[in-house]
Amino acid sequence: MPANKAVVDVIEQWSGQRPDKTSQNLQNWWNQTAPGSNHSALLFKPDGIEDLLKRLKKAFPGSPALQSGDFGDAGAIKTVQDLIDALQPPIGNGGGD
Amino acid sequence: MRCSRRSATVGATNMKWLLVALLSVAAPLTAQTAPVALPCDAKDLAKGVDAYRIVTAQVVYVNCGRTNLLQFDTAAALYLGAGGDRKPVAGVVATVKLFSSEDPWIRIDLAKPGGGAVLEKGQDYELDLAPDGRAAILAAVKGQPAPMHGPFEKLTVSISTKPNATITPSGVSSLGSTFQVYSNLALRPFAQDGPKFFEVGPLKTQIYHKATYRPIGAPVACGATGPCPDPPPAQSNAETFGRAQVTLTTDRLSQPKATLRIEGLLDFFGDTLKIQNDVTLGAVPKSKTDSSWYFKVDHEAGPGSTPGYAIEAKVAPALGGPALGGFTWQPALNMDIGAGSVSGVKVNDTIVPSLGMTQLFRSAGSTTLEAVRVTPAVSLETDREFNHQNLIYDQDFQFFIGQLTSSRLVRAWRRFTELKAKNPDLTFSNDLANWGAGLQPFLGAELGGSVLAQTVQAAKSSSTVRVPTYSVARLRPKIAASAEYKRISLTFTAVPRYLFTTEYTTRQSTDGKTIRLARVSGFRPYGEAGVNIGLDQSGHIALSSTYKLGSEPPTFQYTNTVQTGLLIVY
Repeated sequence: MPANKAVVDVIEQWSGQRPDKTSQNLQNWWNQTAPGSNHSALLFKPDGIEDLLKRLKKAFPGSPALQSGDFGDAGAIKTVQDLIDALQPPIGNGGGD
Repeated sequence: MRCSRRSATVGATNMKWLLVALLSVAAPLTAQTAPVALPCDAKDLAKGVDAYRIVTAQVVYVNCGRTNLLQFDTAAALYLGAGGDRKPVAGVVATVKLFSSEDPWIRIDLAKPGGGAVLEKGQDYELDLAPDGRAAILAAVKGQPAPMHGPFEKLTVSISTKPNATITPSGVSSLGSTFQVYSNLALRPFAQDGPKFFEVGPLKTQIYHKATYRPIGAPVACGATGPCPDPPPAQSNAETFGRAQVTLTTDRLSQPKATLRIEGLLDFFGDTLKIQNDVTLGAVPKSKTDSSWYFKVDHEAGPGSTPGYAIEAKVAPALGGPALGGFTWQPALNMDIGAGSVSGVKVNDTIVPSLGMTQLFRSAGSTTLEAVRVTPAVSLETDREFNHQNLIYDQDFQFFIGQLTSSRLVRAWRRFTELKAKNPDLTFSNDLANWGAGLQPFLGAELGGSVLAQTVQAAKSSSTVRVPTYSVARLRPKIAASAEYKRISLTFTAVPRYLFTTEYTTRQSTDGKTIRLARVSGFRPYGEAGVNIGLDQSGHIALSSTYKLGSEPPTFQYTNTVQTGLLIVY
């Protein structure tokens, strides 16, 4: 089961900065941390989402597989908290027991 | 008089010093006693599914929503009821600790003399954190531990032991077939096929769907009155308590909205959870593909040509998440064809379906070359008449260079960050920046050949020409530039394509009666310059005018046109 800290660690590596709150909107965070960063030329959709998915898959292989459609305006994952929720696998699914 | 005046002067001086002395003492006292808010944003999440969890009759978890807490030690006072009607629960001692370092959840242990259950089922409670203003708080500030000094304002958190839960759809990969149950009370253990899943119809009819049920957090098996053992220590996330996953086993829901109901799940008190609410599944057709759409209908005019219409469309959905080696499947369809009365107007006339994979490779910390997107694909180059059928391996590299890009969005966020320091109430808006610009280089190669030799007939006669098979080896550098000012954006694309082999295509006379074979090789550039004027705030719909010059495979028809139309891009 991904601990909250582990998920925030991934977001910090992805965006270059650590969000203070789990209510932080991911798209806003990507854009907010873009100026002067190593992702100033990358859009949240599709580039930022794709990179985040790759990092999440590597960090939490036992978690439910997410797709790019889960993020952005149409998706259900908008905040750090939403992402934490979505990554929790059922017991016995490789994520814990 | 003098004496008395002197005496009065001395008295006034003494008063002045006394006042100064009092003020100097009072100021630090005031600073010390001003209460500080606890670093817990419980109210941010109070209406959501992640506000709190009651795990046993003695253990409550509260989500503070902070990611930088290292220590959160304080006491709490428990009240039965809410607001002005609440009453203290006598004899209960509540201790508060952080669930784990840098975790947003705090754990509140409730104890009463003689032990046993503290919380009773079916009640509303309030917890006052730091009721005496004292707490030991440590937070990470810029990576370093920093203590927070009190006294602290007491924070009231509302909780309820009334059985209630919510059902939500899972991610798009299993939309309509997998659902999540959230309960603020930990669940009692249940059998995988024990609960029942119903879809509530418009006439309140219940349609049963076979499903399996699995807990996400540890179920809690204990009576309502006796002391409960602590939940299993293997749990590393407090929010998993009270959660379960439901998977339909024989069918899936496909309508945009549905009212769902689950029966048979119990909270740890043993009460039946009421689970019935509406869920939105409207994202099914869109998000299964998470499409990127581009559709443009153009009015077209060219030198010496009759005005006509053209359709330009692109569909490039990214399917699923990362798959093989981190690459994501990406089927695409690029189309640029004439329609209706465009006879005689030279449009590109290309239809290119392709199946590719794409992956973004980010550099570790470079602000120069920030990333490279690698997209290998297999495509079929053809035209509206299917006179060409080139099977191509297409290898594309897209370079993201920080110094070449300063989009309006990033500029607006930079400006927002600067202004936010002076004005904490400021909210972000795209209008914080008026303009932006960017330049993006690409490098691609197209390798393959025509699949079969074809006989092509002229449009308005029986004249034919045989097009032999040929091989394809092209180098395709590309520069895409854009500039935006408010809702107006200018775009420029240049593709100086080079053909290393000789390819064959056909050319018709303007009256469509004769046709001949043409050889194509060497430098074959193509370029577009356009202006878009956004019609909506989001920029999805725009008036667009594009000037196209040059030729594109597979027809390499020389184009020199201006197309004006409505652009819809998602």
